[in-house]
Amino acid sequence: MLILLRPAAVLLLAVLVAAAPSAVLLGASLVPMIIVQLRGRESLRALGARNLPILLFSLVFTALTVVPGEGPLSSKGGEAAMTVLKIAGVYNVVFTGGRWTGRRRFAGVVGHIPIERLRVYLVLLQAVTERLLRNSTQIVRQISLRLSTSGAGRLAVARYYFQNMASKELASMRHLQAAAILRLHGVPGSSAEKPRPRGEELAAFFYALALWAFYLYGIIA
Amino acid sequence: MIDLRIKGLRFDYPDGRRALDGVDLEVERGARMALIGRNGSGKTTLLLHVVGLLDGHGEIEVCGIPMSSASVHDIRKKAGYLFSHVEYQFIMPDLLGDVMLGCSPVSSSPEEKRIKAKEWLERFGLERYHDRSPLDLSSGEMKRAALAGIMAGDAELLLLDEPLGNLDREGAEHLLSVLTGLGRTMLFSTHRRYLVEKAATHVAVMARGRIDDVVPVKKALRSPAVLELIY
Repeated sequence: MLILLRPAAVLLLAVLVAAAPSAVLLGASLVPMIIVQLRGRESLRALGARNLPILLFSLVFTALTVVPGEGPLSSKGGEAAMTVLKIAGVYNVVFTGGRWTGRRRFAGVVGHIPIERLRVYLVLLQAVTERLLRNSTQIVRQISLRLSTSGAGRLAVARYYFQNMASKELASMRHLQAAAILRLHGVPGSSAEKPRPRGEELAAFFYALALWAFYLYGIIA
Repeated sequence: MIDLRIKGLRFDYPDGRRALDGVDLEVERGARMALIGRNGSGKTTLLLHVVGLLDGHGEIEVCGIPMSSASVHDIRKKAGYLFSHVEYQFIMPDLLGDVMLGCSPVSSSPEEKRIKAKEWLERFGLERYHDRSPLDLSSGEMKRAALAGIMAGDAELLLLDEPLGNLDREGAEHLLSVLTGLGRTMLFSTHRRYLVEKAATHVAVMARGRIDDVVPVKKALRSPAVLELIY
C-alpha cells in the first residue's frame, strides 16, 4: 500500500487547501508542494504562464460573487482573495502533485483498484486524455501557422479548433479501441516495482496528517 | 506447416464498395511475406481480418486455429499486429508498463512480466526509456517499442502494416535488423522496395481486393509489374 502514500498526501493537501479557513493553514498546506516545485525543473516563467489562466479565471469567477454583495467591500474582498488563492492553490497542488506522483505511480494506484472494469476504464481514460492534450497542441500549432490569429481570424480559429479536435479525437478513439481489443488480454497493472518508503513521501504524508490534526484540535485556526 | 491460411475471403464496406473479393493466401511458418499493392487495394483490410477486427465472409486459420467468435481471443494471442499509426498502439502511461501489458502468459506474476518486458526492451535498445511515455519516443523508437510489446506476448505471426512508414534510413535499418532477427512468420504491407529486398522471402501482389500472385522475392524483384508497385 506504500504506492498510495504520495497520491494520498496530494489528496489530503488538496482538500486542506480547499477547506482552509485561514491564510495560515492555506500557506502551511502549500509548503510541501512548494518544496516539490522548487526541486523540479520548471522555470518561474513557465510556472507563471501555467498559473495565469487559472488566476484570471478565479479572479473573474470570484469578482462575480463580490459585485452584487452587500456590506463593506473590504470584508467581501478578503473572502474573495482567499477564494482566488484557494482555487490557484488546489490547481497547483494537483498539478505539481501529479508530477511528483508520476506516470508509473498513477498506473500503480489504478492497479490497486479491485474492480477490473474500472481499472481498464481508468487506464483508457488516461490514454485518451494524454492524446487529447497532444492533439490539442498539434491543432493549435497547425492553426497558428495557417490562419490569422488576430481580429476576425480568432472566430475562425475557434471554429476550426473545435472541428479539428472533434475529428481527431474520434479518429484517436477508433484506433485506441482497436489497440485495446487486440492488446488487453490480461489485467492492466503497474510496471512500478514494489516501492520502498522514502523520506520525502513519509514526511509529506505525516505533514498533511499533522495539519489536519492541528486544525481539528483547534491548534491552528 | 502453414501459419496463416485464408480462403475465399470477401468483405464489403458499409457503403457497398467491395474491399476484398475472394482472397486466397497461405503463409508458411518462418516465411516473411510482403503484401504489396496500390493504395486502396485492400492490404490493411486484409490484415485487419486476420486478427478479427473486421469480419468478412470466408475462411481464416491462424497457427492452426480456425477463426470464429469463440476462437478470436486465442488468435489475437498468436498474432501480433503493428499499426501503421503506431502511436495509437500504446495504452499504458509508461513504456515498461505498456510492454508488460502484452506479456504472456497472462497468468504470470508482475515480477515475471517485468523481467520479460525489460529483456525485450533491452533487445530492442529501448531499456533507457522504460519509465518514459511511449508517445515521447521518436517514430523509429515507437515502432520498436510497439514490436517489443508484441514480442513480449510471444506472438507467432506478426502482421505489420507499413512498418517502415515515417522512418528515415537509419531508423529503417535498425527496425529491419530487429525484424529479421526475430525468426517469426510475418505478413507485412509495404510500398518500400528496401523492405521487400532486405526482409521478404515472398511477395504477394494485391489488386482490386484480390491476391493476384504470390512469388519468391528474387523472382518478384525481376517482375516489372512488382517493381511498378514499390519504390
